[in-house]
Amino acid sequence: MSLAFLRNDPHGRPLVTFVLTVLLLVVFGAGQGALLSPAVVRSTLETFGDTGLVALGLGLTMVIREFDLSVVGVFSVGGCIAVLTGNTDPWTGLLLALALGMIAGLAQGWLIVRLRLGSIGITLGGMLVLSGLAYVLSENRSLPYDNMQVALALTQPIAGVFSIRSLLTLAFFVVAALVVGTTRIGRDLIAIGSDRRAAMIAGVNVNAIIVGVFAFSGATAALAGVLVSYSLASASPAGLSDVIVPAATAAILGGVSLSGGTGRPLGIAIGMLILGVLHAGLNVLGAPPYAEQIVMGAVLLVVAVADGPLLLRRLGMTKQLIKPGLISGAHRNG
Amino acid sequence: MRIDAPVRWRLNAQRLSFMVALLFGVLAGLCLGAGTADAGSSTGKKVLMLQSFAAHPYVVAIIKSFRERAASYGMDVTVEAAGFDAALQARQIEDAIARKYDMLVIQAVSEQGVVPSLIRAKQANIPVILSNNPIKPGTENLYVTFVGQDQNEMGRIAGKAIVDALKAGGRDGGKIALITGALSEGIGPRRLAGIKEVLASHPKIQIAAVEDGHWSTAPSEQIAGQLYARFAATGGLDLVYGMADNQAVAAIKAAQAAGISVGFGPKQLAVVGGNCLKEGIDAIKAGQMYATISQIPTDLGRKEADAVNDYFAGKTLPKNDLLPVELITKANVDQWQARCTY
Repeated sequence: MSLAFLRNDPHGRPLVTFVLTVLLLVVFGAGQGALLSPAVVRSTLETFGDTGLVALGLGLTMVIREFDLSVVGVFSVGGCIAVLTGNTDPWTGLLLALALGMIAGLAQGWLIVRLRLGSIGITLGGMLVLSGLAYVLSENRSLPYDNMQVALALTQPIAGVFSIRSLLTLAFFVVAALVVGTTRIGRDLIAIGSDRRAAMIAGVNVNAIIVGVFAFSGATAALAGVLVSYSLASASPAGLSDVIVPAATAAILGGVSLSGGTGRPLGIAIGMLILGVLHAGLNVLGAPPYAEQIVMGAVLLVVAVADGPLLLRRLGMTKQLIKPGLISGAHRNG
Repeated sequence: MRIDAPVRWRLNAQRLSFMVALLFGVLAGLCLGAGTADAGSSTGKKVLMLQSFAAHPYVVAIIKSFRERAASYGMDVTVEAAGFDAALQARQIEDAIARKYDMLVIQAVSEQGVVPSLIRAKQANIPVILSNNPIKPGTENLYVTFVGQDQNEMGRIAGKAIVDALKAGGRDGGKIALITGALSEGIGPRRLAGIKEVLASHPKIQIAAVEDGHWSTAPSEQIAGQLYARFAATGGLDLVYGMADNQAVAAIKAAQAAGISVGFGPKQLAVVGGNCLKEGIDAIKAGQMYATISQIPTDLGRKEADAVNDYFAGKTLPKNDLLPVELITKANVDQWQARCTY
């Protein structure tokens, strides 16, 4: 039953991984009891709020079997633009950064469909251009953001465990999940990721969806950059945070496959929560700084191996062998 | 008995003097003990050390010496590192506030980005000691003390060393290039300002290039190679400065690869380093590098643990608790060798 759930429900595997991760941490933290505290929940949600939006955009590009490397550049240039233009009115900075992120996404998406090029090359170019732009705009200086009220408001705890940032990120995931789960766009995304030619023949407007997904990814990466910059009251051309590794990890943990066609927004959200709870949990357990990376890598590796079609097929075969009593029978005879 | 009496008295006198001596000894010991370290005022305090990153011998040495000293005070120390991720460090500070640490020792990733988190820590009444990396001016009310070096002063010492290195080759001026640590904020720009301040009074020394090597060896070697190629047509460079010794030694290697003679002779390329490291000390001994500047992580780690203990002992700490910085040249390299090797 569990295998069927794992295979058939797009949220099954991420959910199981999440539960297993929490269980593992609880087992390791046995006797400490500190793991199930509001502080850990809040820390998990803050990690979610920091990188979740990037993971959502990037994850959706992975669903359609593309990959948006430019999120790195959009994230840092978005923060720089917001801090440079939003000192008096934070909304101006936010809108300008969002506009730039969306335009960058549109442009890259258009190049990809128009020239029929792979997204890695185009978005690698995009990443370099945008990161360079961040250095030019900031003159290779860390930029201060003087509106400290905005900074403190964004991270102020709400109901103990949330913040404006994490709630906003959560809202984006809910809307994305609704759109993907209940509209035609969702089915089209999966269709394009699974078999682009078949999707085209079936009448899906493949080009429009690809351009749209890249525009969305650009906008979410820019928004994430703005939120992090505003809440740290600064912007840095080098980017204030390493986003692409955790974002891609979250997407993969969340059931998105690099070969496209699988994964849902809620799965990506769960992937993000896995990262968050690992970070917060290991922290509480007092693990040394490098341990987190090792554990994260190990979890990712386990998921990647479990994700392999070969393994599932083998498991399926074992099941078939057990069912008619072949294995147990052989064992008895031997 | 009678005969015994004076003997016993003598014995008693000996015993008495011994006991008095013992009493004085104990008293003196107690006074001394109280005077040295107030041992125990930070016993059992939960202290969190937040490093900007942990993958560098300098930082590893700070952590190690801090842990050792803190353990002697009986502190309960936890160390976390942020891998140069300012957002991660902000989350670590938020977590630390939620978990009610008694004290935070922070090496800030971003001099600007750490400020909102420090405001939160202050609101939560958690004292903060800043380590090594200076932060945005005007935020002095957010931390107890800064333990580190005067980076402007280190820049000024480097500036003077640059002038002296050129003089050693009989030059009263020349074309120089500076390969720096990260210039976007923190230490890099402060040290650069110190250098420029000194060189302003030496108009014959021309800063031909300032390149950001991000404290890293490989990019610095590349940058140096490009600089040599760029200035080859216009007579070459007279001096290269690497803000940290790994960068300066990278510049020496690039010069050797480009066939440029390194040393302080009239036609040679002079090299000045900083943040003394083993490779820099070796280069000074080999006559390839003119000077470096002391920056000793073990002293820093110990001083930070002392500062934490002093805080809990109720002492008033200076806003800036600065380590001495000294110029290291061939003349005094031997006495620094051990401390710069970690």
